[in-house]
Amino acid sequence: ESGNRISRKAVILGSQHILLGGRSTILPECVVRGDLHRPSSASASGSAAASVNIGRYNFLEKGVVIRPPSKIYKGSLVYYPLKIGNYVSIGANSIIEAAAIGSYVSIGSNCVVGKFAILKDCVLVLDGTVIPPTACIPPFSVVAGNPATVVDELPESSAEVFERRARQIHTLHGASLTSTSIEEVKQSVFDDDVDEEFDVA
Amino acid sequence: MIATRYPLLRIHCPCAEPITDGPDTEVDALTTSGSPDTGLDTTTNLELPPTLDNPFALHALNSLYFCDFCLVLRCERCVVEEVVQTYCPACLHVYSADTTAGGNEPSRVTRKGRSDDATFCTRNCLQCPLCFTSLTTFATTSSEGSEALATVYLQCSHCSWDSRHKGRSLIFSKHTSLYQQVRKLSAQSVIDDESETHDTPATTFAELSQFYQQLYDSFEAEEAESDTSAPPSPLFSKRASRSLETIRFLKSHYSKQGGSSSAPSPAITPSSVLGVLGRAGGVSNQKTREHAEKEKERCVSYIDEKAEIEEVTRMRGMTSLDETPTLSQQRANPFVRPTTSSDLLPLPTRLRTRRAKRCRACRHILVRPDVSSRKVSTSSSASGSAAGSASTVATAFRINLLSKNYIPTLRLTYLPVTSPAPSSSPYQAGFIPHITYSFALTLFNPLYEPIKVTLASPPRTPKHGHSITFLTPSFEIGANIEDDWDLQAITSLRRKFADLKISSTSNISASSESARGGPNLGILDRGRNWTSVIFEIVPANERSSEIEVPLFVSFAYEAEVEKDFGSGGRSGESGDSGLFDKQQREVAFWSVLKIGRVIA
Repeated sequence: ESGNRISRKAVILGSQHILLGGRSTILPECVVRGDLHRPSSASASGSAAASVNIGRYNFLEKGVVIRPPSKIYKGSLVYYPLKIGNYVSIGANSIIEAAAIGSYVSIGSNCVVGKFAILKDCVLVLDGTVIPPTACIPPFSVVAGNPATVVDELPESSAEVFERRARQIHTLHGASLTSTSIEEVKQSVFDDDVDEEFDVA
Repeated sequence: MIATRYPLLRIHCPCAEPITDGPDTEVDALTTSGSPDTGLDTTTNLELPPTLDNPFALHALNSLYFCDFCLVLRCERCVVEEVVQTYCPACLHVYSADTTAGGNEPSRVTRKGRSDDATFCTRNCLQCPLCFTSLTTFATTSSEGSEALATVYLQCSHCSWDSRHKGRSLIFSKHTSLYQQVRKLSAQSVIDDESETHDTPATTFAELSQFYQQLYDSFEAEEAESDTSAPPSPLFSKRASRSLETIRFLKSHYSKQGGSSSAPSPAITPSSVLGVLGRAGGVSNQKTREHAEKEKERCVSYIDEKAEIEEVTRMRGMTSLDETPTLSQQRANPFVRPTTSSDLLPLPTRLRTRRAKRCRACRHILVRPDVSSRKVSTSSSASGSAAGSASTVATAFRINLLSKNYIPTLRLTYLPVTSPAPSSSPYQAGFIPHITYSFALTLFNPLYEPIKVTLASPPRTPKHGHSITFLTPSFEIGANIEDDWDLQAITSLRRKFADLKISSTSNISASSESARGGPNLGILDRGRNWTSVIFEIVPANERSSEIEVPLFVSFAYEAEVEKDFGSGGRSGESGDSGLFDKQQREVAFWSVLKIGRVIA
């Protein structure tokens, strides 16, 4: 079993162009636009190129919009593929139009990631951040604000912390599907402080 | 991050302790006390570190490192950093400095040409002066239809700042080395504004450093001479008691220059101060006065009246506040200080570094990033595998001694007394005084050896006097061996723990009055590499006080250390047979558990 959990209320378009790694979760009201893809050339391979590539242990919260970035090139609108790494969590109502997002990334709620932005590994994006188009966020940074500026640096343990958090969210989401406990766990696990409730009955 | 979410665990780093005379000033002083035995109340032997409530001394577990050699936690303040790699955050180009043999040695950044070039990206990364995002370059072909791209301009994708607009239209001749072109432009603007002295920060700094160097040299020369040789000059007197005289003299000197010093910087140049104070020794007053007069004239001539009038007229004619850049915009440019928004130049991008961290006591490396470049581009790699799909700036580490891999992780769980748990947890709702609250404190052992943990805490919290009771001060935790560890096992264990939690609350209330005995009392549950113990808190009647529990955790284990043949070291006596030596290790640290607030 792949372990992917895609809510029925999520809007998934062009699913043949979407690649999901294992154990990823997509909550209701998300929109994943796999239908916006580069017009496939007449190549021998049967399947069209993936326009949205999402890795493992990802968690897309409610209302997230994943949209491949587009550019007007020689008069016509061309879509470029969007790739997201592993252990990435994206907060509610965020709009992602990046070219690439690395692994171990945590994006807050109500964020906007502009077209062709590149987020490297181990990045924390705080709530409400607007990342301008073609921006590049280097690894181990904390970005906030509109436009996004690097406000802090993450400790070297962040990769392990984010990975553990992504795994825990996946397990807990599977154990109980109430959203409040996930919020609490997400917050507490991120701070990696003393956890309050580790398991909800 | 200041969090008011409870519960909160912070670990105390002893580096903030005031240094006392005596041995082991750098190591946590409490590790020198003897290892606590089972059942012994060690709280009488321990003293709370004086900086325990200092917020700068308390750290989250994830931001701490562990020195394997000193067996002590290191925080970001007591760690020595070395630059390993410098890169531009916008284009991710690695500025390989002077690399010594092997690209992974920490290297010193060479200063080719100007010394400030090592801090900025010299390629085409420029930042918008208004919003500090990266600018994109656009090319316009010239109207004559030549094949090469004629002019290049910059545009901000966020705030639509365009380099072509404004009074000083910035069009670049070619699309490469934009940094150099902007540098020339800013140097030009400096020359235009300042009449005589090119008062860029770089030249001012150079002048000042020269001045202080001269000062230091002449001070050294003074030291070499005997005491009674020359009349003591106020500035170079050797006795500290003469410093008062020095200050008085300097004050009088500055007041002489007083009237004309409304002009900015060069009123008191380093050379003028040196000339007046140094050699003359303040003896000849007339000479001083003459020199002061000369300086005064020079200052007056420095003020360019025409330019000032122009500036005032411009300010009178301003129509909107946008014409003046904000302070952060003014300060952002390292070369020029712009006074009008039309003067704003694109900013060079500052380089970022990847640093190696060393323990400040033993110079052992705690963190060493892996800087070998892997030229795998992000966009065209196949399905997202590990984090290895990075370009030249990677996130891997060769050495990464994180404290969470060496010291037990603590986790707090509230055990409700009533069997259906109350709707709001006391973490948010607050704690009521004089009621006993029980918590399960779980410790997870990250090491491959079983450890023996001892907890200690003062019976009452130091600030408000909430009372704390640990039922089992010392216990063991199993080793963290991950043979057949899979997700199912974890979840089943958790479920088991949850069941136990509910059933154990009845145990607690039942056994509170009964006789207690046995060493395993108070141990709630065990797992492969974790143990839960009970502790109880009775808050005192102090309204809205925070419950902060100082907790001393010390653990001991036996480590197998490879014997170093011929290099001695800490691995036990020589002459033992076998490859490994057993070494008793003890680590201890203070931590603070912030549990919640007390409400009446």
